[in-house]
Amino acid sequence: MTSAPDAAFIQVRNLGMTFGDREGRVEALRDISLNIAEGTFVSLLGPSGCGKSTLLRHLGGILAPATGRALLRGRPTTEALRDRPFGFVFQDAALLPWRTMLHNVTLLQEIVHRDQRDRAAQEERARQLLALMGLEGFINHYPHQLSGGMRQRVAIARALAIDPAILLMDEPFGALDTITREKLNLDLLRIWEDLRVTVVFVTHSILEAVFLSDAVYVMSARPGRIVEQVEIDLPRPRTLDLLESEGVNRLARRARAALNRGMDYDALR
Amino acid sequence: MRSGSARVGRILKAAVPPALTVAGTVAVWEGACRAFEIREFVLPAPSLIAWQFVKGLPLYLAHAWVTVQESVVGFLAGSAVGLIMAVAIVQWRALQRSLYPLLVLFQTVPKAAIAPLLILWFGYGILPKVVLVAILAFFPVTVDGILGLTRIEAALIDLLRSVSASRWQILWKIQMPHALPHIFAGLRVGSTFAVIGAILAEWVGANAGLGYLIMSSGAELKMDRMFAGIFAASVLGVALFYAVDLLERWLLPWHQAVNLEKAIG
Repeated sequence: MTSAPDAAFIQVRNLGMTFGDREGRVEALRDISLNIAEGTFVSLLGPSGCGKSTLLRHLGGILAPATGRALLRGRPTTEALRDRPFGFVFQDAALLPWRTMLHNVTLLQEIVHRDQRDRAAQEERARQLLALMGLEGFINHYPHQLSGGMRQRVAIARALAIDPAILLMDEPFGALDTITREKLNLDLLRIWEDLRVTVVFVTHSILEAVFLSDAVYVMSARPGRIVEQVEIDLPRPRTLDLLESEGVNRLARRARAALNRGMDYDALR
Repeated sequence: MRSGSARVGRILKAAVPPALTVAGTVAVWEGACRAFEIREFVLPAPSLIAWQFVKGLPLYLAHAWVTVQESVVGFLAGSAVGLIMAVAIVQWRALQRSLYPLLVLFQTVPKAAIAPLLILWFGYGILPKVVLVAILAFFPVTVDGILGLTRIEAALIDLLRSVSASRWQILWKIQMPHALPHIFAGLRVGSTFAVIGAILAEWVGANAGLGYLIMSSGAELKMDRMFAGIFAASVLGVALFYAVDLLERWLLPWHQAVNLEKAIG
């Protein structure tokens, strides 16, 4: 991606977050600033408990920052939330066991568009997205009949069903085996290129972050801070053999060095 | 798909051990009554009870019908109240703090102690029985309902917040269906209390019903009739329990499947 085609799409300015009460306070995030351009694929990379999931919730407007601001097109994300621009995917697919795949995908549409007359159109859209995710044969299956990878595909389809401007993914493939994970990485890139949606992807896998992204924000251990922004200048479309390439190794080394610095952030000062 | 004969085999396999146990117990009981010449008014033999039951079938059916009405109406009313309370307590935090402790306190009151009060208030008819059954049946539905309505995955809550779902949408689309298996667990427990509650209330004051029949037979030392009444009452309890069980299988097929999946791993 070229630098800053639309730098004001998502802006985070000096964002800080603290949880807890007088008994015990935990500082989760400190002085986070970043820009995400529209249509790009950005990863937040950091050790467990570094606050990257918390940052994702700030970006998606379901959590208000204690200090600083998180903005979408200049509006606080907590306000922008009303227009439903955010599609969330979590590590746990969190599908409803009493609904078929089709109706798991229509769930958010039903909530956003309350008019029941749209039902047929919603189901049609859900069918398209399930087909896009390679699940056309499983439309009437229930979650317990599917594998973890397939459930996560449904969770992605569900998030896309409300046509979000931004797809926010919180370690979506963290619980999957490597083979399934690589397959889903490729499918995610294909969908991202198809739909031209902005993706913010939280992971603790260096290779996954480098392979998928245009830019990787490396975060420190708690309280989470941005240690380094690694621009990923690898060609697209990306293929799995890229994982063996020197370019990926070089970028992964850089991200790893930043991660290590982030682990000792407090010790060094 | 499993074949019909395999299914019959499975049912037989499940039914044979309990059937043998029951048959064995009855045989020992019958044998003991005959061998030790136990007097009829102490412990009547099963054969005598069975004969009494067959001979007096219209009588038992008439009394059972009264008890069925009391327990089913009371069970339905109590369950409905229990469910409404669960939803209200979960929807309004103030109620959780004020009403819930009161409910728990009320639950610790021995229900047998309230039965005479109910007879005084509501008279001799069906009403005090229905009220006592309802009081016994609502609590498990409330407790399990609250559990099912509140234990929703954190990811799902975040997802719903991200589309600004209203609390009623969350209640209807997520909480209620999620709570149904829990509610049925409460209903099953409540169903076992229902017949007990009806019999209890009949003891205190009634002129019909299985509880009345058992009590009056005891007073007349008609032990075979008393035992036949007890037998009829337990058949009712079991029938109500399995009716709830069947209803759950019919309404929540996905839940059975999920359970099975978890059991197989």
